Amino acid sequence: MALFKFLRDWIKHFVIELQRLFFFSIKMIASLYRRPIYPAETFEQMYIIGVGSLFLIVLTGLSAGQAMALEFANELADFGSKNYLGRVMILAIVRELGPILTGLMVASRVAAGITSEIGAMKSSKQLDALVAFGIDPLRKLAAPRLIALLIMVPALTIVCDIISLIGGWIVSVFMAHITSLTYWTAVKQKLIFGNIFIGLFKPFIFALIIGFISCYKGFTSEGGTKGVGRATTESVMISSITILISNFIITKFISGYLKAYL
Amino acid sequence: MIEFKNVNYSIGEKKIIRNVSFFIPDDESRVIMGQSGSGKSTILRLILGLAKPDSGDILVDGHNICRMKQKKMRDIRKRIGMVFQDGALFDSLTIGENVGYYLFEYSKMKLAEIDDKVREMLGFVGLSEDIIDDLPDQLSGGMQRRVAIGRALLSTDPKIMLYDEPTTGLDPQMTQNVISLINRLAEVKKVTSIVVTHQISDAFELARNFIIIDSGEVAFDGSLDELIENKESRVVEFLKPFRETVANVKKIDFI
Repeated sequence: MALFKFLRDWIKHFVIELQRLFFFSIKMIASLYRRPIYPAETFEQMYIIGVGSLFLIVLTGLSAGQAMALEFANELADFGSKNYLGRVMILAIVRELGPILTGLMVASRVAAGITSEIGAMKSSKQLDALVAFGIDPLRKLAAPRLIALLIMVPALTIVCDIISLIGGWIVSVFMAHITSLTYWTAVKQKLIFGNIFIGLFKPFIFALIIGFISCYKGFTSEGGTKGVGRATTESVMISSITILISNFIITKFISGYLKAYL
Repeated sequence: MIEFKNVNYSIGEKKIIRNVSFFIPDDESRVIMGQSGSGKSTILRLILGLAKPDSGDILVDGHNICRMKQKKMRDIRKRIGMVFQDGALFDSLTIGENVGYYLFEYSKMKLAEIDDKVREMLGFVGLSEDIIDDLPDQLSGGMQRRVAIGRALLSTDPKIMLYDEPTTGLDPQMTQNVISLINRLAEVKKVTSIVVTHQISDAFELARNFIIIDSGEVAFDGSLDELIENKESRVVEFLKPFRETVANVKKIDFI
């Protein structure tokens, strides 16, 4: 009975939170179209998100690219198909690993920052002070962060893809003994519109997920410092889980319905 | 002018404000007293439109703000300056940027002009220009409160000033400084002041009219004399720990 009550309360809480997040997201999107706009804040956020995450993304991309190339090269060698390594790398990196790794890295680094910053402003009444000045906190704080994410997450994904492919090339040439020409020719063969579209569509969705969840958690955080800490943890956790689930849904949808067009 | 008519406000199931009514005319200073958690600060949030009442009417300069659209509410807020508890200064901005925040956001003034205004305001609230590039956490609590007052004044040239616990946590000297600044403002700028506090001794230095809030209800609304003579159990109970302070005020008033 207690378990049933716990489950019922949990589902009720989950549905209410989902509904609130939905309406908050609509408000956030609406705030993008209202004046005033804050270009200085948007550029600042682009710098924080883009440049701030660059080292992490380069490191992740290089490591993932090299590890993938090493694994694939060994497997393909068994079938005498080492020359196809570049094609496999494109599929694995551009369609899947690049977007998901970038999404998760940005979620862990940036979502935490956004939630804790807005949460701290809320607990110290700085959000109320903004409203008292006639400034809409959504427009001032949330909209610039969302725009910056929408620009920088796809940009970082491209960087991650390129670095991963370079990592794969290093392994191919120096460890798997495939010529550069063979590797890059195979890469070019699979670098088609469909793969590039999927590789850039996913980060766009991930940027929306990170923006909505991190801002929502910041604006709704309660309970002082402890509450901000809890909201930050939840923000990273929920963003990451949602990214993983949505990645599967997008892949399933595209391979199921859009395969013929891409 | 501010008027509350049978205002009720609750958060979830919890009633915060119950059937509150009062009237504060132009240019008057009024102190709202009450124990922590009695709903004093909520009254300020309601006046500023940061919270919407469940029922009742709130009139600011004759305009009912309860059914007002956000755009119109922004115009009303331009007449109100708010000093939040602990200042609520923007901690990533310098003191100069905090004080001149409204001008940076809304005015078409040149940076040099804003800088001049900020320096002038820092002087008005009794602070040195040297702190203009400091961050809020480099200042003491009292100085932060003064910066917050300066920020509110420079923002909108307000006709109404709201102060939420302006002296809480300050040492006696800083408390006196902030009290004299609030009184000077009321006198020089002719603003309507509403000060929320639970410091009884400060309250008597800030106004001659008082409201006591008890569990979200108005337990008293009147002058100092009426307060001293009041025998209502909630008022007597509230003033009991401060009997000596009240007696002293009575004595000073008599002299």
